[in-house]
Amino acid sequence: MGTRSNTVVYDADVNQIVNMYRQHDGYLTGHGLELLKFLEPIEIVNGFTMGKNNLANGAGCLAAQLIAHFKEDVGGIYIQPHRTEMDWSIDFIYTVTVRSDDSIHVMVHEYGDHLFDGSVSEYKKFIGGVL
Amino acid sequence: MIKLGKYPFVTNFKEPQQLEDYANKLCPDEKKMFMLGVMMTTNLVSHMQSEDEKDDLSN
Repeated sequence: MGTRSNTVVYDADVNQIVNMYRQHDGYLTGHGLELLKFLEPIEIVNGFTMGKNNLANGAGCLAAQLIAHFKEDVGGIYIQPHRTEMDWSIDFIYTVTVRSDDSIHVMVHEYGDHLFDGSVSEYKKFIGGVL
Repeated sequence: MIKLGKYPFVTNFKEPQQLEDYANKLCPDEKKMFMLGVMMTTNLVSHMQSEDEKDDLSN
């Protein structure tokens, strides 16, 4: 069985925007690293002009780009509700929150163990420490 | 495993009141982030405990 993960995107009021379930490679050096590569260049904006890359126009835009980035083919990646009573089979939960100051906050849980929370730059240091 | 946290992890608080006192000192936006972490952790832990209890009952 693969290492299963949920990536949950929240807005600044802690409304769940989307949950992306990934069936394989959910560990830190797999999905954790890939999530960092996705998030690192992104700048959250409130309104935009065309022609600039790596922008996300709020949490909903970031959530849509997350799915577009990871979903390549049938299976593997699914959008499904993130339940408050967790599915035991989910190994890693990555929580991505777009804060009211337009910064991105990342949290990582492995089962019930809270491994990390902080900004994307702090997340980079954390992932660097496990590579 | 090295753990890094902008906020103290739930396990650092010995009593619920300590956690509540800490949360109440944060600004509203920081408090939301902290409490989201608390919610994620406590949901996971309580779910695992209920699974353990189910296993104990079936044995």
